[in-house]
Amino acid sequence: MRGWGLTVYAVFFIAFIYGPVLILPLFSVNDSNFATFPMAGFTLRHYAGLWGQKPLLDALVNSLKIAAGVSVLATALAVPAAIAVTRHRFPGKPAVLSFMMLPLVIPSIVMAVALLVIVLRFLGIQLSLWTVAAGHVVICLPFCLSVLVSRLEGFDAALEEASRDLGCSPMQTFWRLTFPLAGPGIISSLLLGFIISFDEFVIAFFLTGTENTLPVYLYSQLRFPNSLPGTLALGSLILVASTALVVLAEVIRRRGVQSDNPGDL
Amino acid sequence: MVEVADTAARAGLLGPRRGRDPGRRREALTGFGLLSPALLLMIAMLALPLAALIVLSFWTQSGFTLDRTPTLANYWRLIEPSDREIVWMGIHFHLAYPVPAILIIKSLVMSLTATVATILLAYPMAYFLAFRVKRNKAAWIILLTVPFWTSYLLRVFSWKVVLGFNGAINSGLMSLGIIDQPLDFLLYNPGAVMITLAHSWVSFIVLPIYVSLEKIDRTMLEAASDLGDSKWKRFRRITLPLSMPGTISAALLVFIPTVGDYVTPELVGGPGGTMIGSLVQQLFTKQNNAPMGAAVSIVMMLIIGSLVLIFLTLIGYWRMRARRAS
Amino acid sequence: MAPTDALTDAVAEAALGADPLIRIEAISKSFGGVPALSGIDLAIARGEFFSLLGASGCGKTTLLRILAGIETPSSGRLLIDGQDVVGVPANRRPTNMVFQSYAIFPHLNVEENIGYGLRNLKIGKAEARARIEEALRLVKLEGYARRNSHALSGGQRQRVALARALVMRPKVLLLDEPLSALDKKLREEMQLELRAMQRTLGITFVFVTHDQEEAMTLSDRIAIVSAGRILQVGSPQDLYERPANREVAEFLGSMNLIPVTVTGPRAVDSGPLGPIVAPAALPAGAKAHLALRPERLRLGAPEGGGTSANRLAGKVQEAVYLGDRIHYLVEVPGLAAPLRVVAANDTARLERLGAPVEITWPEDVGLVLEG
Repeated sequence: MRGWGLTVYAVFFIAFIYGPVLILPLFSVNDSNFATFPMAGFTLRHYAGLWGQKPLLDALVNSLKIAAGVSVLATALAVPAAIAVTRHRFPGKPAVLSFMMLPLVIPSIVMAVALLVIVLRFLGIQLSLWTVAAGHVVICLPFCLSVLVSRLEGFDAALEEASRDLGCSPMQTFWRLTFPLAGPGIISSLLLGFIISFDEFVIAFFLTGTENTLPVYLYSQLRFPNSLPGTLALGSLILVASTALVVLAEVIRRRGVQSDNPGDL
Repeated sequence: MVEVADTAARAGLLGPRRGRDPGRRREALTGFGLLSPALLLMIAMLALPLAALIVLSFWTQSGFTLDRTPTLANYWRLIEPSDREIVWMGIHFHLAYPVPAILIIKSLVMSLTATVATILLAYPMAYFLAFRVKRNKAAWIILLTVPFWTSYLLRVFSWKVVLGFNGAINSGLMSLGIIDQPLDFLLYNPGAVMITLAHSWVSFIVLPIYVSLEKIDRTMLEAASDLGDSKWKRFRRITLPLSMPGTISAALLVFIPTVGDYVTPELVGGPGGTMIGSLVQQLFTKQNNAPMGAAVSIVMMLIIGSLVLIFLTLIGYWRMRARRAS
Repeated sequence: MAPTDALTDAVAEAALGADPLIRIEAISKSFGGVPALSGIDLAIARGEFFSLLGASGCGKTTLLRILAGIETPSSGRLLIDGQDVVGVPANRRPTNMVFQSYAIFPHLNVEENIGYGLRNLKIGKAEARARIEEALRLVKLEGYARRNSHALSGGQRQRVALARALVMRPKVLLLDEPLSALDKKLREEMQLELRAMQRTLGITFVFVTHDQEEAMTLSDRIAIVSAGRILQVGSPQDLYERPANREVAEFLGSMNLIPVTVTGPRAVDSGPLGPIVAPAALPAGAKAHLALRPERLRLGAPEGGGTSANRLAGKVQEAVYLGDRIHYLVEVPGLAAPLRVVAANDTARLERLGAPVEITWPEDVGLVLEG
């Protein structure tokens, strides 16, 4: 009885979280300039219209560049930090870890204005894509760190001791054991960092100079009703791309070593 | 994102270890060495900017001139009394500048409502996933995780398309002949903001709750039944209390950032659905009063922080957590 | 230092000769101020099967990890083959370890696991190949070389861990409760195999266990560890027959303890039970305990009708029939706890509950222990 009720609920739940989002691709192929029912017929003209819009393509390229750089930098910083957190005992670890997780609980608008203040008023640096990237590294780091920490925590600490015992130096142990074991975590950290930066709006909105990132461009378009069809098409493309990346990241992270720890899921 | 909730929770909860042992020194130094690049970056780009924000909040701006004399003027202005009375939602404000106070209270209430809705929506789903789904759990988990990682902006925007005057619901109901006129109360109000916030965060919160349910030893449930509990009683006496710490820490990860959310109220809130984030943005841009904006941001974070601490203390969270750990 | 029997010393000297392989001198270790080991002195001979036996948390595993170089002692000296190895990291020690969790590398298959350490030795590919094959044969895993490590049973993982360590040809093989995760039947099988393997290879084994039967089955010598100290070192027989103190006596097997006062070189007084004859090395007047193994006590008249035996009268409080033997609890007036008596089934008939019985034992059976 209750089992049935819950199953029905689960179906509604999935419909609730996916429904509104799927409205975008649905209307993006509707042959109308408004997002209204009834549907007017199938078309791809809104997609065709996107091609050749220079500001859009520029914004896309900017976002790709930032996301790629940010994900590599955040992961490169997070890997040694995750090893320290999972494999080393040191005083003040909880405090340090809390501090690193702080961006999760600070509203992004506060982070954005704080960075804005220090960049403009204290350092006197011009806003640019570089300042956006700097902000994105900060918000990606806790996510990358969490993914890597949970990956490394899933392994018996005795593995590294066994490696040392079998004659490997700490460096060799890292390359022959820790790195391959963390591999899926590293890849998914890269992908998550990429997605977070690629989709991030508020910090980019405050910290960008004359150039736009894709979400900032998209936001500017949301205000114009007559650019709605193009926005729907662009949004659908972004949805498809980020969904593909997330699924890839999750599948990779789950592959390889199985763990009984539900925290790994 | 389970790891995030987990790692964040663990951060504050492991007691400091005493380590006088000289053998530990080297380990600790290597640990700090490995951590230092990330730590330095976070200090440079998180701690210093926040410090700068605090410094700025003690300065004052009038027109285009920034006065660097340290003063509490901005903070005073936020609570400065006045004879003028403004009534908002039945609350009387005797403030010279009541907008921040009103918006902070409004943001807290809206965010709290959205958070509660999020938990109520997510808990049964997490329960289903933990206790009913036997096969393809990984697929379910991915299905539930994916929406959170797709563009926040687009998820909010999609509600604008759904709820709008010429949106999907209105046009759908009209074409079905259920209504003649578009319903104009759907969009641009606090309700729309709260629905959108709940929708945006619900896929974030299912997994942490699921993990806290999944970790419950099944033999404990069998023991409860064996001792005479009905299914419902067993849920109330075992499952719910054991999953509470995980659920609460997940809820905080929703509540804290949503208070300062900017995108959602801007896109679907309309004039009535404005929240504190929009004020901060305006102070920094249109109103050209960054010091006041800094003060509002800091007061907002202090209020959120103290509310969370009071809440956790009231419910005995740390005790609860320690008991689970043992 | 625990009081050591002169005999135990003699046995140790004989076993060690002049040149022990491992010499542990005054090793202490504390974790964050909490002592885990205090002042451990120990010598382990070449080719010996040596066990560290103790309850969990007694420090035995810490000592093993200090031998491996995973933990550093807070103070003291450790010599392996005459060389001071304190400060030498685990990867440069002539020791290899079988971990309690086995620590099988999950991303490598069986032969890659076994060959993991060989890449750190300066040996050619062909020799490495040959060594891996030899190791696989030794642990009876021929044909499993390419098996994925996830697809191994507990017993097979244990064998891989063993092969991975042995293939390094260590001077000392360290084993941290390697059999505790196996079921009883498999454990007993592995015990015999380990013992045979150690004899054939002649490698020194240092084995940590909390299972006294396992320690006695396998070891040449055993050190009993408790609360970070070594209580006694000796052969299984030594420890069982001549425990140095009450703690050892109670730790190994079952023991009846009766509080007594020493009255002479062969006499103790047990108060309400009267004088008892037992060889006592303690000065007259010393408070002591008389220790009696249950299987050395007899219900009924002494064998061969000896006259000099000790006698106590009591009545049967509990009798447990175990097939090959019968366990009795006999209530003796004047004793706080009933005496345990184990009778072989072929000599004893089953006494009824409440039946009056006489317990007898020869005068040289009792042990008088200080304290």
